[in-house]
Amino acid sequence: MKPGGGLTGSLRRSGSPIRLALSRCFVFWRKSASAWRMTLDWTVVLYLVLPALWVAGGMYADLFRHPPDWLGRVPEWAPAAILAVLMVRARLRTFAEYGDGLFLRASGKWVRGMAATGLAYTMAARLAVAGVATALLLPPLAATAGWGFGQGALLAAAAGFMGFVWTCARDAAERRWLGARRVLAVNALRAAFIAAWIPAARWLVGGDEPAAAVAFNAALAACSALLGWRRTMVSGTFAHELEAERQAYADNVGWVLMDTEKAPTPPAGRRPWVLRNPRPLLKRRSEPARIAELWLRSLLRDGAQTATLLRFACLGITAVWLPPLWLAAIAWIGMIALLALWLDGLWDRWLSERYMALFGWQEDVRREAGDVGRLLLLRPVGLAWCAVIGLHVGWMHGGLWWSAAALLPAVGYPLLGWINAAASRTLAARASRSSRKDAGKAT
Amino acid sequence: MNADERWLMRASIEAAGYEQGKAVLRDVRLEVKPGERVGLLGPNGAGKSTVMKGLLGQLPYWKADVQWQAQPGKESAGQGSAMNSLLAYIPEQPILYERFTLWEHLQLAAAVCGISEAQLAERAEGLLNRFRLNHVRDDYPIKFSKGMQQKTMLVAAFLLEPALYLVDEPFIGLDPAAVMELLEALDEERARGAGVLLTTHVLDSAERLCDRFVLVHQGTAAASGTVADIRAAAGMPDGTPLFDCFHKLTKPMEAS
Repeated sequence: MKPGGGLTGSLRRSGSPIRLALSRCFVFWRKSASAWRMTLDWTVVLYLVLPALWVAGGMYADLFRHPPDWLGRVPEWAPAAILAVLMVRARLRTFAEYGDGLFLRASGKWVRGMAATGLAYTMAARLAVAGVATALLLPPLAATAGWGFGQGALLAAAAGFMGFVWTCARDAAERRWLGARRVLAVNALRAAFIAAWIPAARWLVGGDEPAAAVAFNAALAACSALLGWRRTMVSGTFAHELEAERQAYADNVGWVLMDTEKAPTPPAGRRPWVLRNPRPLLKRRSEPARIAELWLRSLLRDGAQTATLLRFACLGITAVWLPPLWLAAIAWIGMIALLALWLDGLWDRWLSERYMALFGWQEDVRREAGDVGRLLLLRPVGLAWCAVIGLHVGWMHGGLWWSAAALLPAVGYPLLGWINAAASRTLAARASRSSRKDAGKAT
Repeated sequence: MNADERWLMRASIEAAGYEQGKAVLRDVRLEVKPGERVGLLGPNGAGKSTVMKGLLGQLPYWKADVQWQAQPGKESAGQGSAMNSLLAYIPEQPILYERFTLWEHLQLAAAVCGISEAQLAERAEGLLNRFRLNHVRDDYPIKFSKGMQQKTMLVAAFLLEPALYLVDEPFIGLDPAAVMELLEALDEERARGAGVLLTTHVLDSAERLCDRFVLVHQGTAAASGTVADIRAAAGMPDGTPLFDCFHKLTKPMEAS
C-alpha cells in the first residue's frame, strides 16, 4: 500500500473527510482484491473460474431459450426472499481506522463528514446489489411471472432502501447490545426484516396500485434519509465502527485467508455456547484423552470450522449416495482419507497456538492425543456415511437389504479405528521424513 | 552440600539471538538457588526478555549450557525447555487461547504437565480462590480485563508447582492488591524451595524483593550479585539505591 501515490494518495492529500473516506474505500477494495488474487492466480482463473462462469452463463441463458418446468413452479415470494437474504447480510460502513482515535475523532466536522460519506457508500452499495440481483432475476421471471421493467425497478429500489434501513437497525442493535444478546438481537431483527419485507415486496410487484408502490418507495427513501441523518449525530460510536470495519474485511476475505495465520476472532459471548458444561465428555481420563477432549471442545466452538465439517459431511453423503455401490465404497475410503488429513491439519494448527506452544509436550502424549482427537470426529462422520451407503443398499434392493443400514456402521466402527491407526503411522512417518529433511537443510 | 553450593538452575549463555549466527546476547551467567529471588534488570532492549525466551526454548539461536539440579518427583528438563513441571513462565502480556474457558486453560496445563485431575481440582480450588477468579472459572479469559487475564496466567503457572518461576515484568497490569497476592504466593513457593527469576524496570521494588541481581546491558552482563556487589561494581558507597548504581553502570557504556 502506498499512501503517497496514485488515486488513493491524491485523495488523501487533498484533506477533506469525504476524500479521506473515499481513499479508504479504494484501499479496502484493493486489499480485498489482493487477498483474492493470492488464491485466484491465473491458473485457477483459467482452469476453474472462467470455465465455471462459462457454464453458469450458459445455464442462465438456457433458462430463456428452454424455460424448464420447475421455473413456473418457483414460489412467488422466492425472488423477494433472495433479495432479503442479500439485504440482511449488509452492515453500515464508515471506514474508521484505529489511528483516527489520535486526532481525527476530536473534530466533530470530520467525524460527521466521514460518517455521512460512509452512509452514502452504504446506500449506493445496497442499491447496486439490489439492482444487479433484480436484473439477474428479472429476465427469467419476466417470462414466467410476467414481470415488467417498472416492477423490477420498483422492487430493486425498495430492496436497496430497505437494505439501508436494515444496516441502520443492525448498527443500532450492535451498539446497544454485546455478546450473546447482540447475536440474538441481530438475528431476531433479521427474521423480523425478512418477515416484513416478503409480503411488502409481493404487494409491490403485484402491479395493482403503481402510485401506492411509488409512494411506498418514497416513504422508504425518506425513512433512510432520516435514519442516516440521525446516525451522523450519534457520538461514542468509534469502537463499534472499528469492529464493523474489521468484520467487513473479514467477511470479504475470510474464506480465502482461512488457512493463513490471522488475528483470532474473539468468541461472541462471555461463556461458551457450545459444550458449555465443563462435565467430562469422555470416560477415559488419561492425559491424551483429556487433551483430545479439550481440542474437540475448542474445534466445535469455532463456527467456521464446524460449518466446514458439516459441509464436508454433507459432501460425503452426496459422494456415497449418488454413485453405484462399488464406487460408493471407494468414495467412502477417499472421503475418510481426506477427512483424516484435514483433521490432522487442524490438530497441528491447534498445537501451534501460542498458549499450547507455551508448554513442553511429551512426544508420546502429543501423538496419542492427536490420534484420540482425530478419531473423535472421524468415527461419527464415517459411521454416518456407512449408514447412508446401507440406506442406499436398502433403497435399491429392499427387503432384508435394509439391514445394511445397521450392519455397515457395525462393520465400520472397528474399521475406522484401524484406518485411524494406519493414518497415525503414515502421518508420523511423513512428519519424521519432513523433520529429517529440515535438519539436513539446517546443517 | 552446604547452602551456598545448592542451586536449582545454572545457565551459562555463550550467545543467543533471533537469527542463526547473529547474537544479541553474549556471556551471561545465571544461577538461581532454592528459595531465592533473582532480579534480571536492564534498560529497554538490553536482552532481558531474550534470556527468558532462550530459557523457554523459543530462540532459534541459543548456544548455552543450562543445568538443572535433580528435583525429587520432577522430570528432568531438556536444555531450553518450555513450561513443564520444572519451569513456569509468567509473561508480561497474557498468552491465552480464545476458545478455552479459564478452567480449560488449567485443564490443558495440567494434562500436558502430567498433573492428575484430582491434583488439578485440589490445587486449582485454592489458587482460584486466592486470586478471586472462582466465579469466572467457566468464562472465556479472553473477555477478561488485562489484570484478570494476568491472574489467569498466574494461576496456570502456580498450578504446575515448578522448581523455577520465570516472571516477566510482574508489576505491569496488576493492581496493588494483586501484586501483593502474587508476592505472597511466590513467597509460599519459595518456602517450598522454588526459585524465582524476575525481570522488571521497577528498580525500587526489585531492590526490596530480590536477593541477587543480574544487570544486563547491551546484550551482556554488566554486573551481578547482591546489592552490595552491584554497589561495589558501580563504585558507589553503602546505602546508594540500586537505581543510582544502575544509572552509573549503564551510562558510561552508553557513552562509549
